Amino acid sequence: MGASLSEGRYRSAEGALECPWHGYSYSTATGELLCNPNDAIFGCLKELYQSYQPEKRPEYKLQAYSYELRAGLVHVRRPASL
Amino acid sequence: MKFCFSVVQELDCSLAVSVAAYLDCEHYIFLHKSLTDSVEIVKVDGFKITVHQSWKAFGLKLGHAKTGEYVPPAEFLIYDVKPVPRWFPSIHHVVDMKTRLRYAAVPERDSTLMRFDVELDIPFWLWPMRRFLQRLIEKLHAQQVLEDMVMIKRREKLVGRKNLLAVYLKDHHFCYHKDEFLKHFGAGAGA
Repeated sequence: MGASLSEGRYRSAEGALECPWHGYSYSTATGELLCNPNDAIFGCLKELYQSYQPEKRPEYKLQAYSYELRAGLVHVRRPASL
Repeated sequence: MKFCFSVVQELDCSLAVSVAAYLDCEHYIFLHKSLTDSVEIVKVDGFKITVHQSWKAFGLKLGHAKTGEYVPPAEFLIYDVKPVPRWFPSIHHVVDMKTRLRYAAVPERDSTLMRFDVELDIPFWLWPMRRFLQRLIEKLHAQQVLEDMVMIKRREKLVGRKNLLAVYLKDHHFCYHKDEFLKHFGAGAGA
């Protein structure tokens, strides 16, 4: 939470954008969370702590904004709610 | 021959947030990607976790295994640093390194005093290199602290300083030794 995704790695084969801080990767098409690579790395620890309750995780999702390419510049339409 | 040095620094965040950021292991290979390529858990024994930390170089996976121990509420030890694979020519074959990281609250500024103590056991023929090793370790440590502080400050800007700890206390947030961390810094712990 809070990382600048513009600094994240884009994985073109999967169409995924990776968070530069924790490695969570998101679909650039839908914004949905594709995977948390740390589940594989720290999986054996994740069963040890009673206070860790992954089922209470909110739905992590990226917000997609409409955009246009004009004269080599990306114009992003800011939603009224922002 | 023992060579010791310390780094003392005040961090502009609360004690609880400093400890939480250290225990937040999911950022180790992503935020600190310049320091490590991969982490594998080798052994868990209470508050001691042995990891294999590695880098890719020349088509090989090189690195070291080390044991990190959490001494609640705000102290962290690292010892038993061994090169992996064992044939890999590494400084850890000849230099035994132990580190002790301690955090203490500075209530008047809601900040944290960090003390990082390093003890190196160096063979006599490497003794002239001790200051070089010190600078190298200090540089790596400073880089890690800086990257952690960038993350803390960006989050602080988003949620506010008072709400920052709540990010780490959420049920779905994973960190090393989470149950013990909550005992000392969770809601009602008075920390």
